[in-house]
Amino acid sequence: MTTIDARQVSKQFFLRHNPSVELKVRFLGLFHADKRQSVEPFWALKNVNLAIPRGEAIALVGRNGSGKSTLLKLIAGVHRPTTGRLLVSRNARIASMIELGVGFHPELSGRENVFLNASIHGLTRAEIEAIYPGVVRYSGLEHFIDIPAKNYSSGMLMRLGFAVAANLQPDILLLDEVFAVGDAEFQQRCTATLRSFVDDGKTVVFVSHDAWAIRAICRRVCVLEHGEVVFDGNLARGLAFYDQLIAGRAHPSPGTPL
Amino acid sequence: MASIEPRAVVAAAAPAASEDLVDRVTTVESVAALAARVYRYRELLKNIVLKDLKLKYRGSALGFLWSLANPLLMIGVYAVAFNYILRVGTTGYVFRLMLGVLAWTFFANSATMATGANVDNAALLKNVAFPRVILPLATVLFYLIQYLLTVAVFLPVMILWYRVPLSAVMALFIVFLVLQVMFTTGVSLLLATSTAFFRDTRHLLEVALAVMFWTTPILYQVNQLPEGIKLAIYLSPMSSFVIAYQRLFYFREVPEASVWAIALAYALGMLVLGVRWSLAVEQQVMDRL
Repeated sequence: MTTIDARQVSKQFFLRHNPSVELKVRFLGLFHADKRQSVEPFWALKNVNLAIPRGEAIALVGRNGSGKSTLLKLIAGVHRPTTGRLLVSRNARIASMIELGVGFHPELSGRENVFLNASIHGLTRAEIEAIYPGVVRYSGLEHFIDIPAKNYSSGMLMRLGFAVAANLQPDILLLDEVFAVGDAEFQQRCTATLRSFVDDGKTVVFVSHDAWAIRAICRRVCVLEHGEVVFDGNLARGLAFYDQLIAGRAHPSPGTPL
Repeated sequence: MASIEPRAVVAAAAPAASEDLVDRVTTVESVAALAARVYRYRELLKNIVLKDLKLKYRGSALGFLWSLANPLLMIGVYAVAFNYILRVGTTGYVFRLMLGVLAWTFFANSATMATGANVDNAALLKNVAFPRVILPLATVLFYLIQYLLTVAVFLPVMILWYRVPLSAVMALFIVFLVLQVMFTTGVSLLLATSTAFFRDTRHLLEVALAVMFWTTPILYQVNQLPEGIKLAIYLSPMSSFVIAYQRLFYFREVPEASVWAIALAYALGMLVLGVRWSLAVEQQVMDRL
């Protein structure tokens, strides 16, 4: 049963080369062509077709700027496709952990941040209170939960962020390159959690450059290059394809499994 | 071998497997639908406002008491300035002045902070899809709470000090407060999204607020003005609210119908405009953050 379905999804952004959005510059632009800001349309995603069934863990890999994070943000509902449709199951609860520390306020304590962060994902007070003990236990930050997040290391922030995301009981979990800062023990715990997620029929979309983490969690790999899906298939072949791609040997062609 | 097969093709071949799929981002069409979404995220709204209130006072010795001390200190400063330095002869001038100043401060602070509600929270907005109107709403709510705390100290002090007899018309305060909140919310929604298109919004707002302040009868009364400009003063956006508060508490009379009409028009007009505009440009704002 498909839970995420990208149909011919393209996303266009406008790169503003003159970064000024001041009125003065706009006014001058009326009279002087060279003062006009140049706006370059940029297709971050081009005709992406991707159907992800429920209970699957899929890794999105690709170089910087290949469109992985844009695709993740479209699934998260932050952006809307310029053309095509991005469909998700009705009533699916989607949790995302895209940038580390976003949704945490440095001056608030760990506890206050858990409540803030969980409410950003739409939980009610009662729901947050119900998951709170589990979040703290999972993060292993019992002794630091009342100190301000500004005193946390990036590893501790990641622990807390992941603990919230994992305890939201999402149907779809979106993760963007979040394990890099965790220690080995916590990384193993995260991957074990994600595997049990998938076993429970939850869906994980995972952006990473870390082949170890990808192998531990995913059985399917989707390779993006310049906003296009250039490979979509099983883990071993996907990682091999990506290795070849960054080594400059793979040439996406009609012969490539797509 | 099956897992090597292209998944898109597999999914396309599965009939009726997609019947419960919906577009991830849909346009919120009606104000009622928007209100329902905001209500679902009421815990977030509450947490953001609480966070801002906590952070405002965290670390200061008097903490929350500043909210209560502030209006008293302001009364003292204005009393000295207008009774002893400028020697304004009007009885209860400071009372009338403060009614306007406090309502004005609520509006001006909300509008000023709302200009940054989206652009200053770009990282958060680009990570999680919560209703985008929550942030400007939280700004208005934050300043509304401060305004109410201030009024709760200022009104009893003034009523006791000037021995103002209590009057039933004072209960109409709640009506004009609701109208002012509607007006302020509409303006804040407009400003929060406009800043994403023109960063100059902040600077233009400063000028606009200066013009509005001096065209609102806070320091003076409309009947002190020449006939020709009275209408312009009445139509200045904040005037009807300030006039209403002065009528209710200082003159203890029901405001005339024109004041009601202007206040109602600004409240409904700006709220509808603000909501419609922020929904219409929501995606463009996200792409520009």
